[in-house]
Amino acid sequence: MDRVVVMSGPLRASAHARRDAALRRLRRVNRVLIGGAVAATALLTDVTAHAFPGHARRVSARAPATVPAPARAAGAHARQHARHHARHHRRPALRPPASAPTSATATAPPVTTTAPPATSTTTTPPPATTTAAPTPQPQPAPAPAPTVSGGS
Amino acid sequence: MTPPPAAPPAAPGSTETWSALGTTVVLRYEGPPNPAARAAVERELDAIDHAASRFRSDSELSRLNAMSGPGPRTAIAGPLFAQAVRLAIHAADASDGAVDPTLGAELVALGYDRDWHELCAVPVAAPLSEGGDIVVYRSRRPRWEEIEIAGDPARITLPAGVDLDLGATAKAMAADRAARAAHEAAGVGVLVSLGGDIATHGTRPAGGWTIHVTDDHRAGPDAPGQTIAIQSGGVATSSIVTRRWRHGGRAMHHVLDPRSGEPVRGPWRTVSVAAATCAEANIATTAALVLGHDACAWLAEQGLPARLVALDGSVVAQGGWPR
Repeated sequence: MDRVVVMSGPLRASAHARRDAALRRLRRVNRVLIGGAVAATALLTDVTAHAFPGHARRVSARAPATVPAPARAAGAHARQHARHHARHHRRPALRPPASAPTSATATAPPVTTTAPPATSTTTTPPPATTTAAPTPQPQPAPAPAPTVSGGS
Repeated sequence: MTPPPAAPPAAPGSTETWSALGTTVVLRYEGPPNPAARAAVERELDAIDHAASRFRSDSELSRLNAMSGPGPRTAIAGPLFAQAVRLAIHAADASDGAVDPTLGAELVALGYDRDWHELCAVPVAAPLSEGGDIVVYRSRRPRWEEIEIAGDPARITLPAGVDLDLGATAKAMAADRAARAAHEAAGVGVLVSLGGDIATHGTRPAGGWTIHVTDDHRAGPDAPGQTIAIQSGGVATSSIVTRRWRHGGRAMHHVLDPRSGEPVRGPWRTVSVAAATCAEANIATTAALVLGHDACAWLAEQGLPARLVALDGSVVAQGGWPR
């Protein structure tokens, strides 16, 4: 069975006062909690920053000519940032040649490149010179043997 | 970027061949023999050897690796060593870690702890499984992002437990530098090959520089492969059939997968790439071997002409590489 409580005037005022007091206490507690959270955040940020210090970003004026500009920034953080950026934007990091290779055929006799420890010097002969008529037309210099690119 | 102008068609050329950095050097240039060109190349090769060789104890790289102590190791680097380290970091960055300069300790653990000629070599013609299969049995945490280099002169800091190996990039960088130096010394168009890593600089001959790509740079221009011509830039070829040795009953080779620290297994045996520089071509070939099935897409993304030879000998040409 429900109970119905009928408060008289003074009693109702007292309840209101208690409620208002509780709300004030709650407001104070909230303020303290928010302030504490802000202070704790600042403190933790400071501790973390000192525990994991950043690194100076310096761009070396002596960076190698073969390295594109994004790679010249020194420091792990800068590299990670550049890497993330490169991944995100999918930019090629290596430069292609000015023109693609073309097919060629070797016409000259092979010149071996396995000479260690010997040293060799070969000179492709210049075009033959005409010394007396009737000599054949000057022959173009024979194409040198191709240089070999293979695993080493 | 435009290709250099072509030389007159009948210009005579010179070719010099010798041995350095544990491999074969080929110097080719327009005109009669010019001692200044070769001297310039030799200076560059000597400098890179003193800076970045893993096989001489007095190199800057060896001294940095040999520093003892539980924490990170720091050293002041000369300009050339700093350039080599920066390029190696760029290679790792550009390849998402596929070309990793921090595999020095792994290479030593796999037996590659001395000059190549002193190892128990596996013949190039031997099957890839010769000496036992290569088994990937562990995973490895990449450390290259922890390398610090800053300042001038550069201060390099290596994380604890990491040894540098710049073999994948320093030789190609040396080829680029040597070609430039020879060109400046002789005033003619120059091609420099260091064990198959080819760089050019200056005027090209008529028809371009002819290059034969194959599995092994020592095989000569008659070996199975393809002959191409380039107008400028560089060409590199990386292969897992060369520079193999036996260690612990297993056949090893020098291209390691940074994810495992073990030699890569395919599906490619040889990759050739043309790029703006020899260093960039070499980064791409090494990365392609490591990336395996993802290599074609990655090379296409980079826009690089490439030729990939699978383990069964089938060839894929892409990005403008001639067929």
